[in-house]
Formats: sequence, C-alpha cells, structure tokens
Amino acid sequence: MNIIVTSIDYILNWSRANSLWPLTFATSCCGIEMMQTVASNNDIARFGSEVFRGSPRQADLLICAGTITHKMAPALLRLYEQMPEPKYVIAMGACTCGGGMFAETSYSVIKGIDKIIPVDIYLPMCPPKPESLLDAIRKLQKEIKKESILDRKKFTNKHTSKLTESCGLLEEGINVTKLGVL
Amino acid sequence: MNWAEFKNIFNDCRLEGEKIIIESNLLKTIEFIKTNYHFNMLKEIIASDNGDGTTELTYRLFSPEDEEDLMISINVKDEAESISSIFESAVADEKEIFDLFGVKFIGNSELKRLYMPEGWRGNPLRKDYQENDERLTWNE
Repeated sequence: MNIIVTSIDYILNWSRANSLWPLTFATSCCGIEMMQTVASNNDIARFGSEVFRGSPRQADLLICAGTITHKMAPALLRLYEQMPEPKYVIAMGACTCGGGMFAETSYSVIKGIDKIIPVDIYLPMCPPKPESLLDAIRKLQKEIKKESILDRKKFTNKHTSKLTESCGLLEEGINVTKLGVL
Repeated sequence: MNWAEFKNIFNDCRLEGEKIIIESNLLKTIEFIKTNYHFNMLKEIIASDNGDGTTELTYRLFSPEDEEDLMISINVKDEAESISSIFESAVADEKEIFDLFGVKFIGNSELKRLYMPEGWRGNPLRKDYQENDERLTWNE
C-alpha cells in the first residue's frame, strides 16, 4: 500500500510542482515586480509557471502581490475559495506577511493575509526582487515534492469557509451560494 | 475679498490668521461667497478632531478670476450641512469625512463608507477610536 501511495505521490507531485499556474492578482507595487518576473530578463517560464490565469478556477497558485485592506479582504477570500484543489499561496511582500510599514498605525490594512487564508511561502521584502520571487517559487516546488496526497487532505480541512459569515456580501444582496462560491 | 464688508453681513464670524471662523449658517455663507466674490472652486474640505467631541471642518475655496484663496472653518458636533448643492465635488469629500470622522452631512446623496467596509465599527481618525471590529481577527 505504501509503495503504491509513494509512487502516486511522486508522479502527482512532479506534475503539480512543475506546472504551477498562478492567478493574476496584484494589488500594489509588488505587482510590478511580479510583471518583471514574467518578462524576458527573469523569465518565470523556466520554472514552469508562466501561464498567468485571469480566472481563479483555472489557477492553482495565488501570488498575493500587494497590500490587502479590510475592504479588499472579501475579494481575496472569494478568489481563494474559488480556486480548485490543490492550491498554494505565496504571500509576496512585507505587507502581506505582517502588515509591513502599515503594521503599527494603519486602520485599514490587514496585518498579514494569514489571518484570512492559509499561506505556504512567506516572501518578506519591500518589494521583493524578481529573483526572490523565483526563489520562493523554487522553494514552493520543493515543498510540493515532499507532500503526500494524504497530508493534502488534512491541509484542506484547515481552512473553513468564512465567506457567508463576515464579508458583507450578503448585506449587499448577492446570493453567494448561488454563485457557486461555497 | 473685502473683510470689513464681509464682517458687516455676517456678524458671528471672526478672523484667525487667514481663516474665517463662522458659528453657523455654513450653507448660506458659502453660497453668498460663491455668488458675490466669484469663489467658484472648492479645493478641499479638511476635517480635524478637536478631542472634545466636536470636529472642525475647513473649506478651502479658490477664485480663479482673482487667483485668491479663502478658508472658512466651522465647528460641528455630529451633523453638518452638506454643500453638495453648491459644489458637486463636495460629495466625495463629505463621503470621506463621514467614513473617517463620522460627521453626518445632511443633504448629501451618497453618504456611505468610502475606505472602510460597510458596517465597520467606529471612525478610524477620531481620537477616541478603538479597534474592535470583528473583522480585525478573521481567522483567529
């Protein structure tokens, strides 16, 4: 049994790690560095994740590039929950890791996106260089290659959907369940 | 504009530096200034919390003809008159002040939160603001 799981793991992880499709999600200046990473000088395609998707349903990596405010949080949560399993998150930049320069006094910025969604790799800098983002992706690939499908299920259960409770979408009259978010 | 002339029309006002401080009748005063002295442009509305429950609103007007600046300020409690009927650009400024200071502008058509999410507890730029919204701790 173990041998079978191990070989399935090996093949699955190999295919997952080498073809990470990121979601186009850039909320501020880290997004410029992310664009630079995609461009020819630093060419993210060398590591198999050049296919930036516009829809969360086709993506399996969320590179959260930029400050997340309380008003943006429901949108981020919704995008994350729309992504199919397996999904991974890179918190890019100091703001998404722990608030960055807004950590002390800001009233509108979330101090770390790990308050909303589970994060796999933290990449703190302001903003990170393209090389750092490539390094983060390499590290994520190493993590993916280590995991087992049985672990993955445990990880999935860690994030319970919060969307209907506190995001305020229901107050605005949008029926969330009808949109297929949950 | 002529300060002595202005003082004759509005009795309850005083000059402090370059700022005219009025006690009441904000809407009437600004309308009068706009029609008679050609202050056709509202540059901005500044709000500051005095710390005793009142908010000081400062209106910066500009006259493109005379290239002259004018500041009018008023102390309000919770409510103030909206000047969006005179200057349409005031709608957004008043919306922002409503969000961050909690001053209700009577007559503003779009009075809702601008920077903070709907239903946020408290007004962040007030001096007695306590961060206690449930959304501060999303996943804890």
